[in-house]
Amino acid sequence: MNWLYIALALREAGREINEKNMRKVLAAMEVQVNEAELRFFTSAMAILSMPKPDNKADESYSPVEEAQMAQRQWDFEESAAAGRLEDAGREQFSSPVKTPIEEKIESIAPAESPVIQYAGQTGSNDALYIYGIADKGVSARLGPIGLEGSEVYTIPYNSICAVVHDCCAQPYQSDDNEVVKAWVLAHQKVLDAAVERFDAAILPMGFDTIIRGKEEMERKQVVKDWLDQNCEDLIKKLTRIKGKQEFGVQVLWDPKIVAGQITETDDEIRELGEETKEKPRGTAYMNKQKLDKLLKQKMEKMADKRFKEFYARIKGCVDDIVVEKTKKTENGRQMLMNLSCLVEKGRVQGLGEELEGIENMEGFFVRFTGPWPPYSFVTPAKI
Amino acid sequence: MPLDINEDNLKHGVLGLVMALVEVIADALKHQAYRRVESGRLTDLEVERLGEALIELDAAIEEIKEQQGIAESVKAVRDGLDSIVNDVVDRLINPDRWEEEAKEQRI
Repeated sequence: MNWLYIALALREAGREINEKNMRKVLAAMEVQVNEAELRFFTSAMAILSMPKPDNKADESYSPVEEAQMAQRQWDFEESAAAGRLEDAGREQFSSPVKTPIEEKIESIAPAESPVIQYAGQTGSNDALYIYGIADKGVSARLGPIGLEGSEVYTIPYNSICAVVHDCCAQPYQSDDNEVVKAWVLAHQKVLDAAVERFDAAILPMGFDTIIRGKEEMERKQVVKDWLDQNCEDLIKKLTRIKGKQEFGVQVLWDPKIVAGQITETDDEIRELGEETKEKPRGTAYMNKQKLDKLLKQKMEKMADKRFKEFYARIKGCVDDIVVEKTKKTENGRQMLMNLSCLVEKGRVQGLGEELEGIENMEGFFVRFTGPWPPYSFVTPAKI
Repeated sequence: MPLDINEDNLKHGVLGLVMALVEVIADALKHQAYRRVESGRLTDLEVERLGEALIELDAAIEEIKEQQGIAESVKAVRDGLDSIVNDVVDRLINPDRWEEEAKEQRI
């Protein structure tokens, strides 16, 4: 806490709060100088008296990072003194980890605060994480709503802009599911915020789309060049998806119910069933095998028929449709079809009604999710 | 494969594996039997005897599973086998995807 008083004293005296002055005061007080502490607190005080940096991207070595480095060295020395492994400390110090500014400014006052680290993001800080492309050529800041609280802003180019945040040239990876979930949610939130703020159509990028600065080219320039090359294509796609949302439609059925229906209605199967009842045990068993195979065939034909039927009905309600791979489900139901539909906002209700009709058919169930940003209707250009 | 073996139920696990394989073989037998029956080359009596033998095989397998309490293990092994075979067949049908995945793994 004495550091605070020293800083205040310097302030009052109209002196700048820097290392030299701090040393003078300490010398006057005849107090031994702890180098690491001194460095840490000088940079900490310096930040508190500075205005919040405007565009973080332009500062390669902000005072915050200086403070972090200083604190890390202090931790290192402390741990060395406490007899812990020196290797651990050294490792922590030699690879600077990027952390959000806002969080750091608050935690800088209590000196014991641990350095915040998250998995995966170490290394050079010269890349941009892209959330998506919006069809408004604005340059704006959306605040610290990005992954790990990163500051999100836009890089405009003509009538479009890329929504990005600064990051290291490494994909966001983690073994912890909760962490990944948080990241994906943040990604989604940024896209939603952008749509709201700019009232624009936005072409979403998949999670972990990162553009790296090349040898001589600064990363922003790389992005601008890419926007330039693909401008026409991007604008075309943006107009295509403007005012529309993506919905996931999955139709499932309960094979038992459907099998029951077929057994009752299908003549061939019914006859065979009748026959089997009269035969002796062994032969009946073999007959049953035949029955099962026949039933399976009929189910497959029925599945095919229904698929085509539903597909035609749904296609009539939406603007565009993509057939996705069916997934396995657990509760005894089979997935018949897995579609991604691009629907204009006004037509969503029509689609809903059509799906309700399908849901009402016995043995069929519909899973309707959305609205999502139109991930399935955007084929990414090669970067 | 979703086989859950630990020291406590090692016997359980081995038995589960064995019975799963027995079931697979039994399935193959049934398949063959079916084809023989359909081919029409068997007499009625033979069909009857074949059917009865298979019924008893099924019953025996069920009984063993019940007595040893390994029905779950067996199902788990078979599900695992199913998904592996699915994967292989999938890649055979889509050689492009196979290539893609191979590339990814090399990276």
